[in-house]
Amino acid sequence: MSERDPSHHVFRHVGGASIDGDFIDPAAFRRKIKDDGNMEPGLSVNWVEYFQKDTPEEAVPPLCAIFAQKNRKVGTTSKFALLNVGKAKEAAAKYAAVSIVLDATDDDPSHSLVKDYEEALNDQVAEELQKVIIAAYPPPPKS
Amino acid sequence: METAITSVVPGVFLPAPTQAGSGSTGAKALSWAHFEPTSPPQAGGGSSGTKALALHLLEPSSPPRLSAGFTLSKPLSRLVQEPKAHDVVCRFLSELTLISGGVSLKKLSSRVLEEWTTQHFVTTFLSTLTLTNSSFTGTNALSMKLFETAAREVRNMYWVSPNIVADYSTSQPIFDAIQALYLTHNRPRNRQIAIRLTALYRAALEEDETIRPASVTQFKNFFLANPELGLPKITLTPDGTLRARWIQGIGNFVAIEFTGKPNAKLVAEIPRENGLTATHFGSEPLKNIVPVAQGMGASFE
Repeated sequence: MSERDPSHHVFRHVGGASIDGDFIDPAAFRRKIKDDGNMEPGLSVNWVEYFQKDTPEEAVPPLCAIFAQKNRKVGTTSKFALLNVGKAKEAAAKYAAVSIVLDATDDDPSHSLVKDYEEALNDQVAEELQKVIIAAYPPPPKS
Repeated sequence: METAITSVVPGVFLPAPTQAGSGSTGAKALSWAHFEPTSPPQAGGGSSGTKALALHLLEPSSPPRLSAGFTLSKPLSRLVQEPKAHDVVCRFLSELTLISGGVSLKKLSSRVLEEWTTQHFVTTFLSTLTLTNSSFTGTNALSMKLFETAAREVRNMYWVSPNIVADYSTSQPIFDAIQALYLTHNRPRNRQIAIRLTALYRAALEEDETIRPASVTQFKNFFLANPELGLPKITLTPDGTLRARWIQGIGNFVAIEFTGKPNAKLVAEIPRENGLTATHFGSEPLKNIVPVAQGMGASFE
């Protein structure tokens, strides 16, 4: 797993229930507890530059297509929150020296993880990541 | 798997899209005068009343136009004047819940309008019910939903894509909470919370997210018991718990997460002297959480 360049960016998909108006709940940046009771190894994000588009917004449709292939639902009120890798690591450093690494899979080649922080710091790191959201983009309308 | 990037110019991005607010619209007074007085509904059992109401909502036929520019079906206005409207809505909501859970009841399940969700019905019907209170001050958003219901074209549709399936155990506390918040004495904050809960629930269903029933019940009880608190931002966490956050500005907020257990999560950032910010992550018994947070300097406005 290779670290992402600090100048690069990642998307975090945020469900519509975690968004109230222009407010995105920091809890959307928490690692989830899995069915087996353990916490996810890292926070799932997607590497924006993988898509080689001129703007991050243009990377949203192909990312949604990937999500669709994975049978992951993208709600109409959900958003893709954009974060800069360097800024995210800098913000999280208030609590932990996190890594943002590529965790590509066959069906999701841009998949990446924010990792290397203790479970006990899950809430704290999530709060800091939310503070450095650059923009949030809706999914493309369903045809 | 590093990929060479040639076309991306880091730092050159579009500005954040303008987003709509949380649905707070200007108040627009509505009164009984907008509804044409009609005779009471014909006698019948509670279940037939429920069915009649549901069919009226599903099949608004040729609604008359009112002088105020609104459209409302006569049968609907007649039904909302029924003295036992509260009983009807309870039964109606419970039936909707069962239907959305895939259990067929009566004729409703065979005739479902395209793009309609349980939440549409709940929102529409509850707003209708509220209109019957003489002290009600409706919002444009609510009235639009109501009249849109009546004006919608009738189409006979069959249940072909029930891709929103509500879990009964989750939906019932949500409906109870929405109803309880709506029916409090014309308190705009509670109505706004109910509207937000409706939208949140719809979004959660759309993405198969779970809402903990115990969290919903705790959330509702908390707000009914604390009418002096302002309207917060309300969200769902990945753990299925509801969260409320009162934001005063950057580095100045307090958030309560309703875990469904006696202790709630409390997160706060409170400005201090010399540009410093006090940060708090912890849990507190819910019954003490407001005074504890206020003691730290948090504001719930």
